[in-house]
Amino acid sequence: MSKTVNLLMFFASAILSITASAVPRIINHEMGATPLDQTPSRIVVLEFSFLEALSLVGVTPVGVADDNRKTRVPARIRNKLNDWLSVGARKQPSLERIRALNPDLIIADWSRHQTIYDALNQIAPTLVFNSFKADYHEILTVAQRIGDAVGKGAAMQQRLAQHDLKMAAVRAQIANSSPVAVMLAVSWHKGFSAHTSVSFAGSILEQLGLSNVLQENSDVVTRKLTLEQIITLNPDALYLMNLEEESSATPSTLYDQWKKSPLWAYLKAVKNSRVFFVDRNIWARFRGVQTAEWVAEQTLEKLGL
Amino acid sequence: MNTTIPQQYKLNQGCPSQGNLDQTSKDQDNSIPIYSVSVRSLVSLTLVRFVFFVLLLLLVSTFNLTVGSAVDIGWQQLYNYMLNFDASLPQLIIGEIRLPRLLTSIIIGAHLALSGLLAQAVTRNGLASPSIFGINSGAALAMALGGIFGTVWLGIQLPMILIAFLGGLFSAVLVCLFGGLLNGQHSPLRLVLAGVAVNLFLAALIRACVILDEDLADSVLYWLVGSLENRNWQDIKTLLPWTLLCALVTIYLARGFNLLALGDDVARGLGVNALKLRLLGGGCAVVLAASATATCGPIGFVGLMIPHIARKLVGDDYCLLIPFSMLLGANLLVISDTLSHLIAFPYETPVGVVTALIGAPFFLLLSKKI
Repeated sequence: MSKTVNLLMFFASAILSITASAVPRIINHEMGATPLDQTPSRIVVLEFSFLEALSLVGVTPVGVADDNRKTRVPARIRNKLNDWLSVGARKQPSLERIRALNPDLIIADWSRHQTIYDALNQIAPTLVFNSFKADYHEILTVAQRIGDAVGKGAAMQQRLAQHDLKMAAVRAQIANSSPVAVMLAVSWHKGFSAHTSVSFAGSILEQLGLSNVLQENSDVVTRKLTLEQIITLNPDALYLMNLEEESSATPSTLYDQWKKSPLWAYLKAVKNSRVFFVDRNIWARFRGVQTAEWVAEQTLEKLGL
Repeated sequence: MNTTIPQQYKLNQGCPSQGNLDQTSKDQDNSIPIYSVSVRSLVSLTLVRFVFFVLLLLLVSTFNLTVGSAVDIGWQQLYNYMLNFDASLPQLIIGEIRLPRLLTSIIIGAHLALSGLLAQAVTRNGLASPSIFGINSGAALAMALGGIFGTVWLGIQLPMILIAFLGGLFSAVLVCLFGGLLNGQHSPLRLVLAGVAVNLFLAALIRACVILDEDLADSVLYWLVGSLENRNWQDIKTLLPWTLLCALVTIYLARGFNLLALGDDVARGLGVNALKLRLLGGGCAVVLAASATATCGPIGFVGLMIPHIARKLVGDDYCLLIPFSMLLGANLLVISDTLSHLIAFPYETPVGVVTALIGAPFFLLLSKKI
């Protein structure tokens, strides 16, 4: 009796899965290849890049590791999505809360979550991509893979084609003006770290034809610099990435100290009044396809091109 | 003071140029002439060593100002900066970046060395140091907590030095408590064990702070390993009053430390208030190490190494040990800072890493001897 029921159930589910997606898709990722024979509907993402990729094709995940602060997701992205549940910090997601959501797909970051891959995989099929250490080009590849995984490969391809056109337009505009060497940096009260040419924002600017004064061949994303080194590198334009959520209550940063020094005036960026403030949430933390477009727009706007 | 005679006598024998004096000491039974002779030669020897290390400090300081820069800074620029200032780029770099950094290194080195000397004097334990007492880690934790929860209390902006001092004091008291220093059961081993445990506990809390607040991630390295980068004249203005205050108090206490070194009972018999001496000396040790940490993060091993080297060079008299330790500490930190410019040029290595590289083998050697 029970055998017949089981058999019937098996056929029923087989027929259902075939109707949901005709061919089981195999998604390649950092930890191997994972076959997905259904279109996932309850997705948990553990990095903002992946949330943004889903938003491009109109999919809302059920759970997001959003550092327990939904406001970290820019309103322009949040408005396109339905509500989700926080599953803790990106650095330390809560396995319990992920399990409680009963997901059918988890998307995790290689550098942050590779150590908990097995635990995640026990909860649901898990894809691991680079976000934290990814440059611009890798973000595009990952977006396409995520599109394929959720069964919206064609839609994503279309969106990425649009993206390429937008970026090419900005690149053309920059190519028409004289070359600019840029430095991207975060200034805080005890240090100044510059983002290299292989960082997310750094690689976007490279793509746009703005070369970074810190060219890097390895995967070193940031370098701590002293004022003396900055003067030696002497960029034409300096983009300082600060957090909009940071209030005036935070202690004064090294930039506030240095701008009073007679040495600061020696910088070309200062002489040309090309020291700009941009939102670190978009320039460094989010790392997505659409954020890359915003970075490109802001770069143009700040340079006054 | 009688017990110091054999020590000085031994030192005298170790010096080959004093061979004829040893001869006289064998010939004569009366020890008083030997004492006066050896004190005189010891004074001159100490003076020579003092002058040597002052000159060494000047030399390494000159190196520190000129090496490891992509901008061409040479002796000529240094000379011009002092006598012929024209606000050119190399001269501004010397005046605005390198000189304040050098002076901070000198002050911090003196702070840490004196703090270590005081820690060893107060506990009469050769393994004591600001790092063992967790003063550096405690101060670092307090500053990291300040970074998360803010440093404004009842509408008043608390000075960083005060926050660091409270953190340093907290961990020092904790180590004293577990190390048995407060109930008179202490041994070198127990103190080191308590120090290691408290240090690990504090390091864990610092890491927890970083996990709780992602924006602190940038600063984690800073709170775990000290660095002398990005110092300015304001740092020197903040530090210097504490240096002078603690040095004066310590020199005033020097005689007391000399007597305390003979043992608590002897010291008490000679009229020393051991409790007052320990509180003042310990307080100074915490202020010195905490103010150093508030300025440039935890820098280890200076406070441990320097007092031992100083003892080898000038003997056990605290009147000499205090200024000599400060001088040696300054030397060590300026040398370490110069190395930190050079090791991974054009980028910098945190100076705390350099002192740890020099200090860790020294610590092993020391614990083997004890």
